[in-house]
Amino acid sequence: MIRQDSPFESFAIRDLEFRDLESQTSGKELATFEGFYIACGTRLRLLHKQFRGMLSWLADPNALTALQRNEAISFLTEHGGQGAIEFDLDPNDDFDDSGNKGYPFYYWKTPTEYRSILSPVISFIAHRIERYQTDESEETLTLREAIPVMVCKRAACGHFAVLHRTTKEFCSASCRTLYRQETKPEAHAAYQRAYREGYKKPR
Amino acid sequence: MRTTKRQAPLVAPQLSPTELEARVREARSMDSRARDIVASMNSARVAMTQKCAESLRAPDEKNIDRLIWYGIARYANANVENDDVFPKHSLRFRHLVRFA
Repeated sequence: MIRQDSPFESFAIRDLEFRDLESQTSGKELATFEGFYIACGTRLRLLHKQFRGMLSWLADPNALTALQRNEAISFLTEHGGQGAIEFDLDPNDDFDDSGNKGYPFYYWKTPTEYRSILSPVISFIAHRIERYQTDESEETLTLREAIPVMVCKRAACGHFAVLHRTTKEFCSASCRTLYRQETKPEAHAAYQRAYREGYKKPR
Repeated sequence: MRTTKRQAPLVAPQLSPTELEARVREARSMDSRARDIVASMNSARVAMTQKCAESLRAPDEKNIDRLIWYGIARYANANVENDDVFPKHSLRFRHLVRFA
């Protein structure tokens, strides 16, 4: 988020207005550094479970029940749907289509208020989904570009990870090893024996 | 019928060789300054992205969109029951919001 008046400065999180924080915490508390961060922490803890549910749906839409899918999309709409971010538009006094003398913008757009603490992030996700679903070929993203996230295949882990170019099923190498140990113990033992043989010193 | 304004032909100003040389020198100096400013802006942007990438524990990632996804995954994986989530992850979350 770049400031219009000084483009090299970014917004600090405390400069932004989150409607959910304001409705649940007194202005006096939010005005202090500690109060603001405590309010953010409480809110993020509260939204965490629903956020994970939404992310699970994005990572594997068919794995969830109809009820879970509905909950996920409600959460997406509530925090990232239309009106989740309110903008202030200032007309440009120096319009110039070429951009040589002025700026080729009708107005300057500045975010003024967010519906919730997660609105910036969930609006980003909603925008990526739109770009995946759009027909405009220039805007279209592949599924991996739009939503590059997966859930670890090891059920006991359930961690989310960002996909890489190569196929990825596990969040880490240790999870991959544990999965092999859990699902194919004999094959894993044979593999380990063969691995150790490779390191044995020749007599 | 012409609908666009006819452009006046460009006429080179009559300058003495000394004046011309001075103008060329000035233009080169300004070009060099402009390049320095652009390079400094780019290096500042790269340094800021690098800092954020390190805090999101993806130091090799240069793509800002993917860095946001790293931040999203980290928030989703945070143990909110035991961790004091925001003080511990506040810097990471601020970087995530800044990018998003």
